[in-house]
Amino acid sequence: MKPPAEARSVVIHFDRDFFFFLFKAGTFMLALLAAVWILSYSGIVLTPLILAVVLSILLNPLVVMLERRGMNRTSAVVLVMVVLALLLGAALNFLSPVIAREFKALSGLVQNETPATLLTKIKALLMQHLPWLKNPGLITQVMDRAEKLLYSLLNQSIQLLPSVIPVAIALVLIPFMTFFLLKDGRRLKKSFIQALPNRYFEMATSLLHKIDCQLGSYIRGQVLVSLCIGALSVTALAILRVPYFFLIGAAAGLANMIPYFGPIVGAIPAIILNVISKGRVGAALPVIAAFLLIRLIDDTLVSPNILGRSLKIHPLLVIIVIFTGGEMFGLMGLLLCIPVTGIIKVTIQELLWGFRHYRALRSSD
Amino acid sequence: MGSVNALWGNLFRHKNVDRGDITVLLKKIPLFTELHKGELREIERLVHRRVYKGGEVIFWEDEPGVGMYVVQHGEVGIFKDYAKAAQKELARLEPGDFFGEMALLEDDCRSATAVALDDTHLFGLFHPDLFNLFDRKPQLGVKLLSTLGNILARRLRKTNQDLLVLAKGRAGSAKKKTASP
Repeated sequence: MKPPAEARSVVIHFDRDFFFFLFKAGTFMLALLAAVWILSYSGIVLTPLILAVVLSILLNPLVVMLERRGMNRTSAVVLVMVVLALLLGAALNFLSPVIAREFKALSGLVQNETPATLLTKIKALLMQHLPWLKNPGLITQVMDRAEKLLYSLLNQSIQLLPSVIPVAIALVLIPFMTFFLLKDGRRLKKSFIQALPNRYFEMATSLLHKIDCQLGSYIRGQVLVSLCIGALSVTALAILRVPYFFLIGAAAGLANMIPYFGPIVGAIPAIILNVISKGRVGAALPVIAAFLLIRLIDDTLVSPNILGRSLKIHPLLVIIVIFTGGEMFGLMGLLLCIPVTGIIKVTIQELLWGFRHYRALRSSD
Repeated sequence: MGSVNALWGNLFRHKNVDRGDITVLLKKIPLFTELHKGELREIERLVHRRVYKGGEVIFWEDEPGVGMYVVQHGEVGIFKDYAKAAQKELARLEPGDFFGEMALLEDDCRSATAVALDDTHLFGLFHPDLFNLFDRKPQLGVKLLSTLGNILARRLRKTNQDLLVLAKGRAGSAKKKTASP
């Protein structure tokens, strides 16, 4: 007896080779996850590795530029690394008095003020300057929530603060790893492609190239935008004489990597500290105005010119990913969730494209 | 199991391929004849070595092309409508021959299917690697692109001549038809 027409049209052919491919891809992903899981327990290697990958992506255009001028790859990598070390040393030498002074003052403040005392001060200021806020119960509720949030953020930040030994190891590992990733990155990629079976080999070459391009431009763009926003924030806060302007400005630049929430997260400490140090609520206004202006400059000039058409992620997905990343992995999750979503998005996009165009993924013929 | 073996096979094969062998083979390809030793070494670093069993498809017609291949050992058949009733063999390639070079320039699909007729060793050179090289070594890029331009111009001239011959033949046969009662 023949099956009805609708039933015939939905018959799925199980392809043995594709099943094997999925099995191998699954095994590979599991092995990769296991490796990441093991490494995450020894964050001593994973964090420097991630930073080295990001650094190598950032420095690669400089190495290529030197190669274009006739230098061989190894010499170009050495030159770029040496110049970077000198620049970092000079910057550290130039900025270390400011950073040390701000750290010292900030640690003094942290010792004298707990989130509870800090919030009591803000509450008193609000009640004093905004008497039309007739509902103190509402303020108390908001302050309670803010206190809990501050404590959780402080806890996470303290967990993020590295101890001396891992920092020393990272300082050795990061340049070492970056050097070899820059020098042998192409060879590593070639060895990976070489290991693939013939039927997936052309597709994988194309896929890896596209992921490489999109991710490279995304990371370079994000870092450049963050540097611009960091520099603008430091300048604006210095002009407004906000205490700890350098640390807060730098943090605002870093927080800018988190879409939508980053700029707010960057602005809040500056607003609070300016209000407390000046002792009036009105002191928040110039800081808010400065951050709004920086946002405007970012949206109209910086991001469109630097990021351009690189990796677009839907705002709804961004919000879901940020909340999930923050909930699961804390501050590190907040910073890394968008680049990781980018990798997954590009991979899925290219795999779907591969499904439409390559027989190896469609059937076994 | 075969696929797993292929994975391991791919990992550990070709450790003993002579580098001079690749350079000599590359030098024979019209695209690379103008290059000197150092430049050939640059190309050699980009080359992927692949081994195909007899009957294994190298690439399929209408699939996106990523690059060209050079036959090192074995034999490759180029087919139109492969694995269909109307299958037609267009060419049979031997060591030193190359195919798929148009994919180095355009993002278009393959115009025919390439099949290894025997156990075959190939060198693959791919569009992303080549354009990455052009970015790093623009002088070498100009040299290669101008050679590729010359090859394509020669092919176009040859196609024009063939078309002319074909058109003359048609005109001749049309004249004969009108002359005959």
